[in-house]
Amino acid sequence: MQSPKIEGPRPAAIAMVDPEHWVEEHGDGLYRYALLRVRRPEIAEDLVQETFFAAVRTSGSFRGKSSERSWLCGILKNKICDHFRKLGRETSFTDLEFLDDELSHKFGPQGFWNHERGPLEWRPEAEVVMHRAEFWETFRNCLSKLPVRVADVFILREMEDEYFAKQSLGYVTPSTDGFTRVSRNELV
Amino acid sequence: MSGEYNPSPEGNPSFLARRNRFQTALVRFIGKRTPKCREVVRILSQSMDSKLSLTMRIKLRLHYLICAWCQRYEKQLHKLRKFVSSVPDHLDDFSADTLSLTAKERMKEALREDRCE
Repeated sequence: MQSPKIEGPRPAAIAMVDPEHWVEEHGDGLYRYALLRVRRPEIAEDLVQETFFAAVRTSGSFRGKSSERSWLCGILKNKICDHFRKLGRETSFTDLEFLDDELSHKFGPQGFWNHERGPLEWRPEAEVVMHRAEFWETFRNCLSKLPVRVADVFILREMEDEYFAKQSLGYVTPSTDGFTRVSRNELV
Repeated sequence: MSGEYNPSPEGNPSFLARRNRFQTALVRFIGKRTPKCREVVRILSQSMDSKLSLTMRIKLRLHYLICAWCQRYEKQLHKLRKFVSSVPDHLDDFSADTLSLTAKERMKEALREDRCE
């Protein structure tokens, strides 16, 4: 499970349940976690609120072994999974088919890359560019351009794992199309 | 000679290109026996989800000798995966989203009421 790096404080005793403190301490972190995956602010907010409610109800089960944040994230993750399940999106392949056409003009008639349209070298190296704020802004823009269904699969699969994506979406097409689409938009 | 791969060596970044007779022969040979680029792209995308057979991996390596673009594509797919999984480490740059103060107050209020029941 990927949870935000900023960890909350460990509670001294399990009995110390202070949901209002949670909102201050963990609200933003949980919100961002949810927003990344569901990509709609209202929904992310609802899920965070539901998480706090559920946490209050099940606080007895919190053993203090992990941090508060991890525990809350775990609850949130389940809420996110339920959210996608409820949506019950039908498998529609129109989003995915369109991606085949996305790249098709870059190849010659024999199926080889058109040399002028082939992938350019990405400069600078990933390790360098990842430390630049502008890069992440660009990356975020690229992700936001993905067709919804493609984005769901891609993000859930890559940020969580295939199992989670299957549980949430009921099907897993390869996140290939997400990869193809994002790479097409990626700037050098 | 339809279907034959005969790339110009002009500004060709690939390891092998039509620079002399020996390379030309190699390029044609490999071009015939490895998947076309359009196919390679599809195979590479799928390989992000499931492991490729040894045969296919060898074919791809051979193909890269004559096609730097496919090789770049493979590298870039892996970089993309790395980017996505690194988002949590760069969350502040990726997203400045926060809950509004009103939203937080609303939540606290709702939690308070919940406790009173």
